[in-house]
Amino acid sequence: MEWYWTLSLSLVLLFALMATGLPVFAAFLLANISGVLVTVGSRGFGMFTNSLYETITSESFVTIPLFILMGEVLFRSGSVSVLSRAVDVLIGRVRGRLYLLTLSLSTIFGALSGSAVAVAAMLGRSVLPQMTEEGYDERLSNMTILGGASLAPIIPPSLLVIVIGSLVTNVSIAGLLVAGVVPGIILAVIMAIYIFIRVSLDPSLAPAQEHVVDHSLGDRAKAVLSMLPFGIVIFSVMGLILLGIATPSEAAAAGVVGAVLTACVYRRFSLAMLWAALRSGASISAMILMIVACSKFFGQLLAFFGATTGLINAMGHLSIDPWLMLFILMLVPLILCMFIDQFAFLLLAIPLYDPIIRTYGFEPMWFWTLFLITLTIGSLTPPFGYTLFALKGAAPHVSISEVYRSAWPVVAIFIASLVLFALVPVFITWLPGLL
Amino acid sequence: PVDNASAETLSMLSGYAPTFAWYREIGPRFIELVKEESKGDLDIRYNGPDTVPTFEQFQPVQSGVFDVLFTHPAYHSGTTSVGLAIDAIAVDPVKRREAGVFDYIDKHYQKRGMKLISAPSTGTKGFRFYLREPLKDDALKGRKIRGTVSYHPMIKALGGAPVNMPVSEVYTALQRGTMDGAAWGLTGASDLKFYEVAKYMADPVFGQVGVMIMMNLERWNALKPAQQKAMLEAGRKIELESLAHFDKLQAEEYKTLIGHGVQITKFSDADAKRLEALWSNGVWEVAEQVSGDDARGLHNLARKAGMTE
Amino acid sequence: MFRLLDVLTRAAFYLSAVLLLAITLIYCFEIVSRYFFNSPTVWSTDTVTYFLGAMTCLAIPEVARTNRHIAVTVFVDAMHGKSKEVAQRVLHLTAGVVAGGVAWIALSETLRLYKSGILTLGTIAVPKWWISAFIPLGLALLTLHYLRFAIDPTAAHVPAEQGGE
Ligand code: NA
Ligand code: NA
Repeated sequence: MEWYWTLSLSLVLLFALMATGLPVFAAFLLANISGVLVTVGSRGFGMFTNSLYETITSESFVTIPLFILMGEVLFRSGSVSVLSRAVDVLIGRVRGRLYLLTLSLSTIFGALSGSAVAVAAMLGRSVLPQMTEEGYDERLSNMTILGGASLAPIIPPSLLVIVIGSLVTNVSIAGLLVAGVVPGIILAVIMAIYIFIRVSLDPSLAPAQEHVVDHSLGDRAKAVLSMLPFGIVIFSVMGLILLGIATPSEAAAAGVVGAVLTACVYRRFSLAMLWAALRSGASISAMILMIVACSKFFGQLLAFFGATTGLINAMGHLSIDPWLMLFILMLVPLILCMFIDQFAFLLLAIPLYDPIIRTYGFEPMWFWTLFLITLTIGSLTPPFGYTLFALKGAAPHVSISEVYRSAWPVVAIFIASLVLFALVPVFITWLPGLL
Repeated sequence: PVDNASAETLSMLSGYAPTFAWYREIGPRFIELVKEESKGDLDIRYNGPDTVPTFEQFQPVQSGVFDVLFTHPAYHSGTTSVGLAIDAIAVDPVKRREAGVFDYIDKHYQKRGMKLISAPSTGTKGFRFYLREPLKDDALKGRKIRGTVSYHPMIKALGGAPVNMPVSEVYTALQRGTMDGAAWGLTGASDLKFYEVAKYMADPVFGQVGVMIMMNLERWNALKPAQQKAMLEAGRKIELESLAHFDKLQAEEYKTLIGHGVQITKFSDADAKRLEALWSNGVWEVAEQVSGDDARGLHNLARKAGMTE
Repeated sequence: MFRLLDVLTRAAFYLSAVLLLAITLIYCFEIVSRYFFNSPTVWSTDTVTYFLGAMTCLAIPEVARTNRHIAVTVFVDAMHGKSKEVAQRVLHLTAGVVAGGVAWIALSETLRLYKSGILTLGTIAVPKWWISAFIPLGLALLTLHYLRFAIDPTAAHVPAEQGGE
C-alpha cells in the first residue's frame, strides 16, 4: 500500500475510535493491536509490550508526578491562597489579577521545567482550584494555564531543545536554548494583553471588585514578606539547577521538599495532607502516562509502515516557493503530533528535514526555534494533545469539550506569534547573537 | 551500479539515527557491499529508533519481525553481555577471526536465535574523557564523571566518582557543573555539542569500540548459500574498511573540537600507562557479572591470543 | 466479589503513592550524597525509573475504579436515556476487552522474560520481569473494573468525594 493510504487510513481509524468516547488509552491500544496483527501477527507482541515498558520507565517522565506533587502540596498547604492574598494587597485595583498571577507563575515554572505536561498538571492542581474558589471564569482560567504551561518547552531548560540540538549538526545547543527566551516572553505578554482585553470587554470574567482599600506601605511590605516562603520552592528548583547542584529531573524532587518546607512555614503541614497529595499525584500522573505509553506505539507503527518517512520524503522532492515550503514544514508536525509522540517524531523528522532546510537556505537557529514552537502547539491542539490531557487529568470536574474550547484561543495566539517570529527573525536570533 | 528488480529485501533495525556517525559511516556502505557481493540479489532496508526504541531492538529481530540488527551490544546487555566484551579485545579484525573470537561470539548468539554477521570497529582507539577543568597530578580525584557501567571501575580507580546519567541530561549537567566530565567516544562528541560545555579533552585516548551487525537465525538459514556467502563477505570487508575510515574521521573530529576551542589536557605518565588495562578490566568485570562462564570462556580465549588483559 | 476487587485496587493504589514518596526521597538523597559528599550512588537513577513504571501500573486500576481515564465524550454526552446507557455499556465492554487482551499479551511477554532470565539494562541490572510484571497486573485489575461497569453502569458514577482525590 502507498504511504499516503496507510497514513490517512491509520489516522482516520484512530480519530474514529477516539470520537466514539472510548478511553483515549483504549483507542490507541485497539488501533495498535490491530496494526500489529494485520502486519506481523503475534510475533510483534514483544515489541508492543516493550514499547509500554520503555515509556513508563523513562526518566524524562519522572518530572510529571513530581511537579503534580509539588502543586498539590502548595495548594493544600494554603501557599497559593497566601500568594493570591498578597497579590490582592499589591495590585488590588487590577481586575483579573489572578489571571496575570497565573501567567507569571507559569512563566516562572516554565523556567523550572521543560515539560508543558508537568506544568499544566501542576497549575491545574494548585492555581486552578484557587481561581475557581474566587469566582474566576473557568474557560479563561483554563486558557491561561494551557498557554502558560506551553511556555515550558520554549523557555530553557528544555529537553526538546537538547534533543533537537543534538540531532541537528549546524546549530549550537546553548544558542538554541537561549533563542527561546524572547519568543517565550513575547508569548506571555501577548497572552496578558489578550486577557486584559477580554476582562475589559466582559467584566463578568473576573469576580466583582470588593471595596478596594488603599493599603498602607506597611501592609504592602507584609504582603511582599508573606510571598517569601514561596521563594523557597523557586530556589529549590531553579537555584539547584543553575548552581549545578542537581539535574532538572532531580530538582523537581527538591521542589517537592521546598513545597513541604513552605507548608511548614505557613504551619499548614500535616501527614494527612502529604498522604492525600501523594495519592493524587500518583493517580493523575498514571492517568497521563497511561495515554503517553499507549500512544507511543502508534507512532512506531506509522514509522514501520514507512508512512511518516513517505510523507516527509515527498515534501523534500517538492520544488516550491520557500515561504510555502516553510508553511508545509510546519504543518506536518502540527498535524502528526496530534497523534504521535514528539520525541519519536523528532528522531524521524530531523534527519529528513535537515537537507531540505539546507537546500532552501533557512537560517538554522530561526528555523528550529519555529519548529520547537510548532511542536508545542501540536500538543495543545484538540482533539489530541498531551498538554490538554494533562489539564483534563488534573481537573476532573472540567469536561474535555470545555478543555478544547479553552485551548482554541491559545492555539490562535501561538500561531499568530509563530507568523510574527517567522517574519521578524530578530526576535529569535538577537539573544543568541550576544553569546 | 547493481540494481536488480527481483532482489530479496531484508529489513534492518538500527539503534542509531541515519545521520549518527556510527550508522552513517558504516550502514549505507555495508548495504552497498551486500548488493555488490550478491550481484544485486540481496538488498537491505533501514528502520531507525523511531520504529523500535534503541534499547528494545534485540527482541524484535530475535522473534523475526525484522531480519537484520545494527546495534551496539551494550544495548542488549540484559539479554547477554558476551557481545559487549568485544570492546575489551584488540581491534585487529583479521586476528579476531583467526583467534576464534568471532566464532565464539557467533556461536553464543546462535544459541539465542541470532547470527553474527560483522563486528566493525569505529577506529583503532575508542574513548577519551571530556572535562570542564584541566587535569592535575591527581587524575580524576574528587571529580564527578558521567559514564556507562563499563567505565565505572576505571573512573573509581582514577579517583573520580562515576555518575550514571541519561545522555539527554549530560549537556545541561556539564553546562551547570553538576558533572565535571564525561567519558565519551572519539566520534560523536561534536554532534552532542560537548565542546560548548566541556573545554578540555584528556590524553591519552583509550579502549576500543565498535558496532555489531546480526541477523535472525531462521531467516539466515532460509537464505540461499550464495546469499549467505555475500552477507558474510560484506561483513568481513566492512570490518577492514571501517577501521581505517574511522581513524580518519577521528582525526577530523579532533580538528573540529580544537577548532571550537577545546584544549588538550594530559594524564600523568603513570596514569596514562594504566588506562588501557583499567578499561578492559572494567568491561570484563561487567560482562562476567551478567554472562558468567560464557564471558569467562571468551576472556580465556582472547587472553591466550594476547588480545586482552 | 467486587469487594475483593476494590480492596486489591486500593492496596495497589496505596503502594503506588508510597512509591511516589520513595522517588522523591531517592532523588533528594542522590543530590545530597553527590553534591555534599561527592559520592553519587550508582542505583538511584535506575531505581527511580523502575519505581515510576510500578507506580504508574499500580495507580491505573484506581483511576479506572473512579472512572477517570480520559475519554473524548463529546458525542456520548449529547445522547440521552436508553441509547446513552447502551452506548456506555458497549464502550466499557470494549475498553475491558481491549485492556484484557493487552493484559494477556503483557503477561505472556513477562513470562518469556522470566523464562529467558533477561535483565534490565541499568547499572544495577535486575530481572526485567520484576518491573514488567506490574503491567499485566495493573491492566488486569483495570479490565475487571471496566467489565464491572459494563454489567452495572451505576458503578461508573463515583461520587466526587471518592473520585476527587
Ligand atoms: Na523550560
Ligand atoms: Na494536538
